[in-house]
Amino acid sequence: MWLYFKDLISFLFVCVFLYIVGIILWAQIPYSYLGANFLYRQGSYGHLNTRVKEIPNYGEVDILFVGSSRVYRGFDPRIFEKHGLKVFVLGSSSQTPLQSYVLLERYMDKLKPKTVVYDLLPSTFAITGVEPTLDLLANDQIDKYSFQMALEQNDLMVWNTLLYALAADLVGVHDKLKERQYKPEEGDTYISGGYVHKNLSFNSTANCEEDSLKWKEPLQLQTEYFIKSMNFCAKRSIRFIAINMPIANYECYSNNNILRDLVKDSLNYIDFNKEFILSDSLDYYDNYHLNNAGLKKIDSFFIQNLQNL
Amino acid sequence: MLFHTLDFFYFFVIFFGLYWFIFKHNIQFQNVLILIASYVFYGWWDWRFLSLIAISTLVDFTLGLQMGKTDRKARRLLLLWFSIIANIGILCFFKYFNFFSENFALLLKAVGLNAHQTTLNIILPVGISFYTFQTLSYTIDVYRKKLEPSKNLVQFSAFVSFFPQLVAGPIERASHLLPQFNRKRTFDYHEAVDGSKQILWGLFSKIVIADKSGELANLIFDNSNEMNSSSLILGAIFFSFQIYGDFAGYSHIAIGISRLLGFDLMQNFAFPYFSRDIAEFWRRWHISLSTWFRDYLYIPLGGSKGGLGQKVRNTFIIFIVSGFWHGANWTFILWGLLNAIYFLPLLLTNKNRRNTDIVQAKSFLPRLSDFLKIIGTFVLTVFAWIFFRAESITHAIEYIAGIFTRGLGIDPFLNTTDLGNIFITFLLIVFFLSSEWFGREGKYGLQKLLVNQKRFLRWSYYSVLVFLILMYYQFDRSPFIYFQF
Repeated sequence: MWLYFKDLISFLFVCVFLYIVGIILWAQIPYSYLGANFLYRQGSYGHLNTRVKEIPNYGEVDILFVGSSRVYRGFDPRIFEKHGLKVFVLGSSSQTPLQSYVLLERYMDKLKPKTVVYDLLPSTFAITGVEPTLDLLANDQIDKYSFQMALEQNDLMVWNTLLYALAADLVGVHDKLKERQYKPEEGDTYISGGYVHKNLSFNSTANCEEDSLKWKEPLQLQTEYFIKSMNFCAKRSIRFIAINMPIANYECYSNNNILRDLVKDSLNYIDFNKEFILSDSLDYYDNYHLNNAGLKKIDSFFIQNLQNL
Repeated sequence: MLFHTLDFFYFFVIFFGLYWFIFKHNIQFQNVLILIASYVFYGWWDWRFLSLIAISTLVDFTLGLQMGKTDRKARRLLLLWFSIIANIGILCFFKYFNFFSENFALLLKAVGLNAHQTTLNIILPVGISFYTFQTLSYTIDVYRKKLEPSKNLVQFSAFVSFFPQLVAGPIERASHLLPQFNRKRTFDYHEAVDGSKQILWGLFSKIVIADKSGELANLIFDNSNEMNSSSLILGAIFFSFQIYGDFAGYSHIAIGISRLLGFDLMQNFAFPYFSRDIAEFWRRWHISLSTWFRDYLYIPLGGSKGGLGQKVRNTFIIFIVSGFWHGANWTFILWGLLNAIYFLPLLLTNKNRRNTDIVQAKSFLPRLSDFLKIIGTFVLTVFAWIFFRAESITHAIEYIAGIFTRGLGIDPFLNTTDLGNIFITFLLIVFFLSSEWFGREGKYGLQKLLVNQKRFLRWSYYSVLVFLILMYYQFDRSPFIYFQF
């Protein structure tokens, strides 16, 4: 029996070595990600690659916005600059509290914000966040927090992508990408400070999608990381403001109120859906994202009320 | 608990440790451990149905003992019928009650009578068709005096519920498996290595071939009204590989696990898609069920003895019952009937035992004539699988009509991702079939493949399989198709 185990362990060593080689080769095959547990896409949706590379030279900020695409498409640093406020938007697509925490850990000391504005997108509390983790693995640095995310999610796709990212980082190709500022296929332009601008002016989504009507139970993992982020800021005496960005067709989303228990009386909190009335069609370009008109209204409203928070 | 989950991995590691390190010297303790583990394994899915296995076990154990106490043929026959009625009764209630009720009501309606239709919300217990047939083989063999009745309830219970093959076979004969519970098991290095390779091949067949093919087969069958002829043909081909990879994969894992525990289970698949005619296909596909029907139904009905009419009748009975065994739906019956029709010309011309050897053994490629026969048999099989997969007979007929009436070429319904997936799945199937072809002289694709090559080359090949398994493992852990039977 011991001979069997000896052979099995030897095979596992060979297998692990060839597995790493396999991942590296796999990444070179076009479209190999289709249906596979591997997705290493640099410079993908949301300009995360450019955003994190801008941070080291950006300097200290007054406000740091953290969250999903609702945030990096909802707060324009140029508007804040006119009011004498320097801001940075630290977001990635579908970013959940887990990735928000990791980004705060990585960049808080470089940006040194006085205020952190944290968007509580209800649906991100109910997902494990594989998509934003893959985005961070491919477009941000590889460090102990990359392993933390992988351990928390324990997902084969995340592990495979991390393995490749690690190999790419070791040979120095991980951070070589120069991402385009303007992506015509998506109509996105990156604006310094983390904002991504899109020239769309009208939301034609009127019907509720079946999936959004279903109640989704918040995950303990995400709740814990939200609380960790709050404590992280509190420890550094940074003002923490939680927000719920506005969405169109509000009644389509059954998870709108999951934040009630999270948001204690002591917490500074603005639910824009309750504080502010926007047009479902004229102020958005889809149900989740503000267009330029909506953005201006929300940003101005936020700046006006900042002192009261 | 599914074989390809972490739950099963942890379960098996603990079981393996206890089995070989703690209870190694006592087969009674090993049998108790197998019994407990098997009940945990089955109860993981739904503990309530453990009672069915327990009832089936107790009934057949008691009847076996009673048969052993008497030589009176009439009494033995009575006891056998009691076993058949009890086992088939449980199976019919859970699997076929609603089917018979619905069809009886339809029949009455057809003759102008209105009947109140009773249907029950019955959950089909996993693997009920498999363990029912396995226990039946015991009482029939005891009745035929081919087997001494078991006097050890633990051994017998462990035989009925043996977890590697409990829910999807192979359906073992009591005369083959039961004595193994009474024999000292030793850990054999070569058996363990070969068993591990068989598990690896089974996982590859299931996770890579069956699940990838299944994704596309489901997409095409679920949207068959929208698809053109090319897609419908591809859908049927993908389903053929889904069902093969799924079921053969399960069998390989089950046999491999048993070998790690010192048990020998029968071969259930022998490269069926390299068959040169339908008769050969049925000697290579789900062997444990085909031979069960041969031994316990076909031969008692007279088999191939008697006149031509009797032969034809028995063949049709076997295929239709086999179809019905798979599920309570007319589609399965029609699938069985279609296979009987395929088989008929071979039977009538006495050519049904023509191809009993390995196709082109020792040759790199098949002869053109063999290749054409293989393709012809595969086409017939794929056509029959359409009935097996379709939701209803109407769906199957519409699907087949679509194949012959709609256009060829790239289907506008499929997007770029679907087309990419089709291409990748096609490549994986080619890789799978090549491995099976070059390994066709073994009992499974990997057994004799590269066996004379250097260890590093063999291990590299196995590593490729591990790589593909981990690359395509699906998180939603699709269950094995044959669990539902």
